[in-house]
Amino acid sequence: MSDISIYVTSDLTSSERKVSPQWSLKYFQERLELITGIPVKFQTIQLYAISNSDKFDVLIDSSTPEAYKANTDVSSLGLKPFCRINVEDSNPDSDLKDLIDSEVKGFEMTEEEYQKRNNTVLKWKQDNKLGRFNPDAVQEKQQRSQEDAQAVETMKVGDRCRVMRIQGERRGTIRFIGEISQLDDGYWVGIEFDEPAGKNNGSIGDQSFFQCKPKHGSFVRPAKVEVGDYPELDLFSDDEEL
Amino acid sequence: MYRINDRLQLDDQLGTIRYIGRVGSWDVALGIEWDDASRGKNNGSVGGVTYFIPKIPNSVSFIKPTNKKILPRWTMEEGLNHLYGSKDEFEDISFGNKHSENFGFEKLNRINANFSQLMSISLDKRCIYTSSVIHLPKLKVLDLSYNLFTDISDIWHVLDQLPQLTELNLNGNRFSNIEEPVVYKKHNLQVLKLADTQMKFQEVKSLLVRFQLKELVLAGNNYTNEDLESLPKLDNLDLSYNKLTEVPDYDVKSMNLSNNNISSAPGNYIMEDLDLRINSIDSWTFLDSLYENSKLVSVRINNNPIFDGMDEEEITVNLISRLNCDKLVKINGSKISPEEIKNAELYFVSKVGQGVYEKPKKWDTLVTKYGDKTVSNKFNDFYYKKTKVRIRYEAEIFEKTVLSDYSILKVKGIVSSIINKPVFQIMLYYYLNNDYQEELEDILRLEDYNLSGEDLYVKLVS
Amino acid sequence: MREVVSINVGQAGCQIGNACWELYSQEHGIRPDGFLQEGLDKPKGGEEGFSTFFSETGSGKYVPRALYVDLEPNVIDEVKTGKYSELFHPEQLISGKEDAANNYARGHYTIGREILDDVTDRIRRMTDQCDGLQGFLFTHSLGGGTGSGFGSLLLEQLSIDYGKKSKLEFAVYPAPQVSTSVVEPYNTVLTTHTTLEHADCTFMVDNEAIYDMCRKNLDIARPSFSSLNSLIAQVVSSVTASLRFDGSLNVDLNEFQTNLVPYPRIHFPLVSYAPVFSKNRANHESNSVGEITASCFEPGNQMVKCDPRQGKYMANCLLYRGDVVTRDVQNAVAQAKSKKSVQLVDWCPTGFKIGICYEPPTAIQGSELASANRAVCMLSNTTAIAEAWRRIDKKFDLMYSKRAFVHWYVGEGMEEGEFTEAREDLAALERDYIEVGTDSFPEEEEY
Repeated sequence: MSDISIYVTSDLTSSERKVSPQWSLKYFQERLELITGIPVKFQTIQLYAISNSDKFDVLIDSSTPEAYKANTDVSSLGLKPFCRINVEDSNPDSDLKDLIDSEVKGFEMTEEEYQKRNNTVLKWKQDNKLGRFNPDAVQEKQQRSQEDAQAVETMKVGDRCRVMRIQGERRGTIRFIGEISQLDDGYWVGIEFDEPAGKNNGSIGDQSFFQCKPKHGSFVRPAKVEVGDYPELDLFSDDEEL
Repeated sequence: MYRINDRLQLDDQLGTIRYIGRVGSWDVALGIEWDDASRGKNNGSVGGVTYFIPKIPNSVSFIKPTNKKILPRWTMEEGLNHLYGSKDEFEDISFGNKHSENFGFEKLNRINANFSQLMSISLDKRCIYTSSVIHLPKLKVLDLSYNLFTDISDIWHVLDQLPQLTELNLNGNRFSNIEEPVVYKKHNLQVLKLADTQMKFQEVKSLLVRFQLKELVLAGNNYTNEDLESLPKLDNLDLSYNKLTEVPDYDVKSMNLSNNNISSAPGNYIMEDLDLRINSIDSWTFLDSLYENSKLVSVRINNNPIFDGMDEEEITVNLISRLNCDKLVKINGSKISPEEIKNAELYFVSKVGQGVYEKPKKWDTLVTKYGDKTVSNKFNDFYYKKTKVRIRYEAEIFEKTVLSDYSILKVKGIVSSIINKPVFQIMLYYYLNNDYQEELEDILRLEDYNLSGEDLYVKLVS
Repeated sequence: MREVVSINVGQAGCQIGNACWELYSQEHGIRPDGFLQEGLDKPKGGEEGFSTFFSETGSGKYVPRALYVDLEPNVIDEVKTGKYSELFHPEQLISGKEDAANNYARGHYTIGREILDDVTDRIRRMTDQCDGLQGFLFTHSLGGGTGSGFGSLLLEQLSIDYGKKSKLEFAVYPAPQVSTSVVEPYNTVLTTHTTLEHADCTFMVDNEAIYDMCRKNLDIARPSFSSLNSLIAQVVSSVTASLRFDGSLNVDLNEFQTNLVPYPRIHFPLVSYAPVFSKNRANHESNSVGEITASCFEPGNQMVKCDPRQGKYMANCLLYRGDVVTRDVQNAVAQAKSKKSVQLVDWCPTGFKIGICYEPPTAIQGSELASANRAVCMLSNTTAIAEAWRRIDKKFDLMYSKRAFVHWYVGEGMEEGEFTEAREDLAALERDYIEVGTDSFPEEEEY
């Protein structure tokens, strides 16, 4: 007889496996232990002829092992291809139960431990002066925040403004100027766009900084905002439609 | 420049011009009936004046011919040169401060510009409205879907120039002029796609005279069973997304009928491959009527009301046990083996024995194969039942699913792991009536107590 | 010539290998017996590209440059008796007698060691026939005993034997919800630790993501291994297409690394593929360049479950195949990047590539996946994939806090210290990803 494919499930596992009808029952159960983690002596094995149904045969009941002595090899179990074997753990003190959904304090690596390691991204950045270890970038960042601070001086809430980006110009009204703890350090300008060209409704997360229609609000860096006489564009003025 | 029945594309939307002329204060307006009716703003009337009435209510709006969002129209040659013939270099695209590196585009342009070698061309949604002289001697596959063709003679003109063409996609074009050609020139086309063209069935048939097709796509054309007429023999026929209520009887190997309203199958079918997903099938007799089809190799039938609340396994068992399995190898996209068929049929026979299912038309075959399991009920004895118990410990209540043949000791083991007390300290009892407690004994099984939903109480003993 | 040798290890590795070679053969016009299909006078795809993956024997027969290894005979026997049995030389199919029983330590130490010399010998015989070996393409699972244990052992050995030759992996990553065996998290963490410095680039595939794709996009009610594997093969094929077809991309193995890997440890690009829809839906789904490009940015087309919108991109490769035109690609890419919030790590020395391979994809016979005249595969190195490590690390901790099953490994001669060492290494990897994501100065900041 050739090998057959069956599904093996337990509380913790689910997999497709090949079994050989010639295997001794002892060997089969040892294999099941390695898959499910349930020791042979606590294995209660159920056979589901239809893998998803709620009806099953008990092939081996760990509480009455003598009753199953007649089954000596796998062929005596009557397994059919693509049936399902479910292994239950009859050990009331089993550790396995704790492996489902229980919370343990995981392994944690402290900042110091990470810093001490060789061959890390941190070391690489330091050695190659990348990211924040790049003096130019740091300088650039400072320059940007200076530009932002200067730009803030020129604007106030209620001003008309525009923001350029690759897809074109967006116009709107300034609704907020200030720092936002949820975002990176520095000043932010909250804008209500005339069109739904923004990212939010004036809120970041749960906190609302100003109110507008969804997709009309965005927060951008002050240096990106041009304040001036930018009336609402009438994009469709010559494209009327009735 | 526009004529009535011309097609146009505005932004992403296609529509048909149904009216040209003065509307209100506009000297010239175009009255558009949109393919996507939800794009419409009115029913062909503005300011109390009705200019025309559309086929689908409220699918109309009026625009000026100068509207900047109307896309320019192209001849086929223009479209082809514009896309495949273009020497466009791949312009640099930047992601933040990074610029993309691009590979293969020069070669691609070189290959694409060599029209005499091209085998496949996609000119879908390119605002092409008319044919022109083209030289594509090796072309096998041409996609002209969602363009602005209106005159079928343009298509004949294209086909006459493409002798090697085997597949033509015309989905989404709306032909207003379907004159039959003067001379029927035969063409070798094998696959013709006419989905979402809203062509009348007779019009389709008048086209088919020129071809000996293997595959015909007529999806999304709002056909009812009454609209259907005979068709020549085909390998594949796609009638999905129509309004059919019955499985039509055609001499085809594979039929796609998904997304219709089908609930009956009155014909004598011989198709090998049948797709009936998302229909209105609500009774097992439907499958009985397919049982006569012994040629069925593959069937898809999920998402029908009859399967509501069933899991995939149960659906599969029912399909296997009700359909003819002489050749069946695929159900709902999954391969099934002869062993699985046997397993499922055996299981089904036992279920009929338990009265879960009615006997299907296939019953005699099943009984011949496996014997009548309805006579003896022995099959059931192999099965154990799961049962739910509610356990109360002090103020807490736990629910656990266990087997009814679990020993009480085992139940105590479960309780012990929940309340974290050793097994030997645990005593379980239940109330026989309001004041009489009965203790559960370790060596007995849950089922011995004949519990019917009573809660189990935990008492700690030392 | 620039040959690539494919090595398939363990049950999952060999089964995916099968699906891949079936597809490669069809794409290049090779019959299951290794000879050319009728009507061809040479294999499809150009001599140079083709010969990276196949070798020619004197008799006009073509043989894959591939090796199958499994510690138990079952799956290899299937190859030997399957439809493609004649494609391979018996020497390419190696199996042992006793399997690794889901145990990394058995695959890596006890059982695996016994077979290692034989395997490296056969690899040597294969590489000796190569003029200019580029490197190796590994396929294995991270959770099984053979795939994880022997796979990493072999990768280590190849590092010693072949120095700096590229080693790319396609690795089956454990599904987030169900484990195939109780010790899967151990195996995954151990093998990832061992191979971290030996593999140059690892493309992960999580069966649950593929399963969902089969169900949702292909309408397969009960996807089987073979449905999953034929979809995986299609993806692997589109990644390797640039190597197998002449001159289309000028990509060789180590280009993947240069393009996608900013720092050796950060070598796990996320793979997305489109279009994935079933034959019967093919007439109703738009397969335009714009649509398939946009789909690649959708989580439903990813090979690993994670959310790139929560991460930052270090690198991105878009590989198109089939009937496309330059202008469409241009527009599609511009549109996709403006629509989606693509956040970037701008200080990284990796970049963005867009490439075209003119050969269209081929559908595997009997597969539910519709044949398409074009497809795109996106390889993106994003910090979002660290989610996958966090998931498996958490499962590892749950077990290791109780030392559950550790004795199975110690019993095979493994030292317990290897567990903590591996776990620390993965903790550092999680840190590495966080470090990659910090201090970017995006140009277009907007929230």
